[in-house]
Amino acid sequence: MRNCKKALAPIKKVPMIGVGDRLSALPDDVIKRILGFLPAREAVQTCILARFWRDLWKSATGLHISCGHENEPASVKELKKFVDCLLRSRGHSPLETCDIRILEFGDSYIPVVNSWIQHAVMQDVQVLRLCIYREKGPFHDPWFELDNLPLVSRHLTSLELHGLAFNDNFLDFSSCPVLQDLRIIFSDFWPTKRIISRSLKRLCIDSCEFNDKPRFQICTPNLVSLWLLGKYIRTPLLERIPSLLEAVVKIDPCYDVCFEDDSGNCDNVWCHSCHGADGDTNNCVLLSGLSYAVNLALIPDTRTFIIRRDLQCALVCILEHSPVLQKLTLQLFSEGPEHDIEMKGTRSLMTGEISKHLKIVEIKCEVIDKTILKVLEFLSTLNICFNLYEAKILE
Amino acid sequence: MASAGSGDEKAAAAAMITLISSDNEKFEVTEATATLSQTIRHMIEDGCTDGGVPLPNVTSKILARVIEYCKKHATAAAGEEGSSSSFSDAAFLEVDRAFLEELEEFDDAFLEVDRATLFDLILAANYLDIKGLLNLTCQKVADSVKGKTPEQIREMYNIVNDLTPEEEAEIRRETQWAFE
Repeated sequence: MRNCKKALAPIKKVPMIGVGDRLSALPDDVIKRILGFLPAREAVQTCILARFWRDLWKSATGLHISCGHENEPASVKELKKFVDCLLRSRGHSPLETCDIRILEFGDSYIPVVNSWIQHAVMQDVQVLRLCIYREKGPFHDPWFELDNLPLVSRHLTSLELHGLAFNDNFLDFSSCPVLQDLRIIFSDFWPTKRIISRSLKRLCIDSCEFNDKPRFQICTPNLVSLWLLGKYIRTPLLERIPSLLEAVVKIDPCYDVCFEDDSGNCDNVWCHSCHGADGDTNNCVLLSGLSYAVNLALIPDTRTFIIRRDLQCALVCILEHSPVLQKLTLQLFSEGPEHDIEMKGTRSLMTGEISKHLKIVEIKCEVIDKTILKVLEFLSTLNICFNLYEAKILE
Repeated sequence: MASAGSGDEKAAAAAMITLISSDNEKFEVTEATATLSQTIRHMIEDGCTDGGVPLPNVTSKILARVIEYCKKHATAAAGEEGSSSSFSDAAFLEVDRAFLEELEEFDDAFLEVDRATLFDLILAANYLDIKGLLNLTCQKVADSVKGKTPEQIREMYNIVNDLTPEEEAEIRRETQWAFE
């Protein structure tokens, strides 16, 4: 029964500032939160509202830094001066959220912006959003190059990144033990080998560029949700994710192909599509990693060689090693969301080889052709049978 | 009002908590709803909820609104906990998205209140430590002053400028970099 009285004690009211001024009468922490939702410049300008407001902005719980819009610094040069003064005044005031949005700035500002990111991390930021694009030049991409240092934070829970060029140090989140959400959109993974995090629960990678060779590895064993969208020259390689509940993999026109043949195992050892995977994945790129998902939506493009290869050589792996999968939907060679044909396959025999819980395999496609028949034939060897007369034609 | 949660068999089966407003009205809510408030969560952990939880800072009118918010968002939190039942179909994406949209619409409608109620909700959310509600309501106030000059903000919220012209000039000098 400890602390019962304390927990019930009414909070002390801030003395009324002016009659009817309910804003200033709010607790200081609440006002600092409100200021944290304003663009940084507007938050600072509240210093002249009244004597009481003079220093509150210095400990706003959020920072929104951007330029170019109305009532914001007009150029990156002006923004630099503004943010330098702002951060100096804030000192070590803790931050909950930090939002940095900058479009088109020159190379000389790369270290400056990196130092702002470091400042936010040092002040225990929990939610960090970076949307940063460099000036596009004839000889370089628009990506913003992050410092080649790992993020170290016991507080960071959520990270959203747009327009960045990564390095292996930054993508090793081992020193961010409570990071749970990561969204990476339109960014460059080219020079990196892998992303590592044991704490990550939700990962979304959309429209990014991945390494040519070897395959980029996603090492996030505790994910619950994975979204992998975009077009890739090399599809990333997923390590096993036993905790996965939902996975959405939508790969658009993909260049991850073998020019020799379609088997996925050509004779040319230098072919990175066929021989690019390594480790103990049984040469399986995506499906081995996804095999624990309770629900799985695979939406590959017609030309997605890697799924075709995985399907033919390793669908058995997903079915044998997915102890909890109940329903598998394969959207094959169809762009969706509308399909011409839908088929449902059921188990004809309960054999020990594949998941006991698997009830339905659903196939959505445009036509039943040689490739689809190959998949059906393969599934039938696992006692998953389709009745073609029952296929739904949705035209 | 007092029957919040009744009629729902699942809720009835779950542990119930009684919240008592400043004007002595009783509200019965599920533990899942109540524990969106960190303050109440700590009281439950400390075993301080027998005989009801008096909330001397919150009127029945505001408490009813706060409970409405918590009920809606407790359902969302339960889904997020990741029970496989919430992902029962491959169409879960659409379902999920629809639910998030519904939640957003709920929040928008929830904020359609007069300014006095908004401030009462902020104070209640702060006292009860309900982070989602506190952020939602604080964001609403921030949006209302966004793009306004200091003079317009003073007028809007009856803030009396007690700075002398000399003091104001001095502060402006100190923070000139934010007014250029």
